[in-house]
Amino acid sequence: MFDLNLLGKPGIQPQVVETAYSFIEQKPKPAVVSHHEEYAEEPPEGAMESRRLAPILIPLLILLVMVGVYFFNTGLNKTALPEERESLSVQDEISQVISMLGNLSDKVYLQRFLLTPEIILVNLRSDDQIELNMLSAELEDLLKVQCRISGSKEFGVLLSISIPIEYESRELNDTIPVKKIMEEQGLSEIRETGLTISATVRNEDIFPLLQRLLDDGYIYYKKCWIECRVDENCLFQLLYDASATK
Amino acid sequence: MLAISQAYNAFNFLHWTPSDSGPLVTGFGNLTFSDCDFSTAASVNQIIAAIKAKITLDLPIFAFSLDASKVFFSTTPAPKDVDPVDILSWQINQSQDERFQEVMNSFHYPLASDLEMFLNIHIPKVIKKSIIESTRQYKGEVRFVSIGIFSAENCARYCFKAGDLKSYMIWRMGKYNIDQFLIIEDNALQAYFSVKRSPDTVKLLETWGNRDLAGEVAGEIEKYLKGDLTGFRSTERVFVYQADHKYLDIRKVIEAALDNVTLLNPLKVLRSESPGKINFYKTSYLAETGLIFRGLDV
Repeated sequence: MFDLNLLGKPGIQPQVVETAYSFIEQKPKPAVVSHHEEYAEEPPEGAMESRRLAPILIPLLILLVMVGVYFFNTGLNKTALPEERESLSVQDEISQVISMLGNLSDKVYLQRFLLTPEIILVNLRSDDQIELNMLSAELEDLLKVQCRISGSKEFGVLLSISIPIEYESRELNDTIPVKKIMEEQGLSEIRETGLTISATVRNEDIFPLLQRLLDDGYIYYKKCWIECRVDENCLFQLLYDASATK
Repeated sequence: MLAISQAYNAFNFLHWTPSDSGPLVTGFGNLTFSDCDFSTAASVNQIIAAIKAKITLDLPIFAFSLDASKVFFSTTPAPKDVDPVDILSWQINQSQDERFQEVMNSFHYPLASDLEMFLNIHIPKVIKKSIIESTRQYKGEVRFVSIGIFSAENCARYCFKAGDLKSYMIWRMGKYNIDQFLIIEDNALQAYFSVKRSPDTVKLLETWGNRDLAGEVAGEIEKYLKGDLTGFRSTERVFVYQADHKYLDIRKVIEAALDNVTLLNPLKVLRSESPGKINFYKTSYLAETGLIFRGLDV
């Protein structure tokens, strides 16, 4: 039975028409406030006041940090120093996270994955708290970041990981259109709306897609914005700012 | 996501958000406007604004279901040995005036293959334009535009797994005892037709598709009215809802305990934030918001 959708092109109709019109504005760039708040809110009242003090406070803070680092490295607390994250390249960090997503157990599912030039955010959900506790320990060990576990009876347990990153973005030359990559990965319902390309991606398909985007260098493209989230269809949706790569 | 369906002068709405245990209905209801429809952006804006005052619309993603009276239906024979494009353009040239295609969009849907026929739906271009313009003004997204009973069929297929059945029927009980039906067999549309119910007789009105099957169903409805029906034999299951916000007729059908009739109401299978007890008969008009569940396994 066909799904009637009069938004499509007139004429003989296929079983399903995916045409949609989107005017949803792009989301603001994220800034990590805490492990719980994934996006910086609009500055609250009084925030501007703090900003005026920034020219004075920032140099002071830098000075304090430099003094702290000096004493730290000269042996005041060397034994407590965890293995440094700086030893991992950004590529390694992203690879490890993607690899981790590809090896999730059946009991855990990816609720959200966000990658921008500033941050990787991963939310994992499960009904099995023990499973998430074990995963949290593994990830803290592997990625040298703090994981946050929260939960409620209604929504199950949520493991949140946010990893600040910084890498030198670059222009892409001689690119393969993202849509083509998605097609090659066998994704369905690929839609181009505005500046984004989205596709419905099943949990098991997300890892190969991210790996492919990493391998092809898209992840370092300065306009890269990859987000997978549980959408209205309870599947994963991938958005990619592809204004210059179509 | 917000679905808005028009039935007569009423605009029914259902809003849901994803949750860990599936779709969660966060608001539903209906509003009546005597002078609104989807043919101007201002009207669409007015309808959305009134609904927004009643629900929390976190993300403006819309789906619209039109009242069937706002579109036109026709059929075109489609013999297997003739190119359907040729026959459709021939028919358009023969039967429509020049201005028709300036103001209308025509969509052609193949009916069950043994019928060798297209169901044509003609929609005024201004409706699509108004919906898109209003969506733009709300900085939202419009995903689907469908028509009353076809949207209810989505409800049956996606919320009640009707697609697993060999055959099923959608029965839309309407105002002034004028009912509409869809018959689906082997996942293909066999017939779309309407009847007028009188106390103990049924008169077939318009029929598109399989006339014999439509006549058979009309006979079964007549038997039901006379109290002689134990269950429908024309299809494996019948999904029924009442579109006009009344509920005595539909309650009568369900309480008749026919052996293969299901009340079609998405609230029966979805979790809802609504604190009170829901009257499933009275809210069965929400079946026509079913297009919003496309692609879901509720």
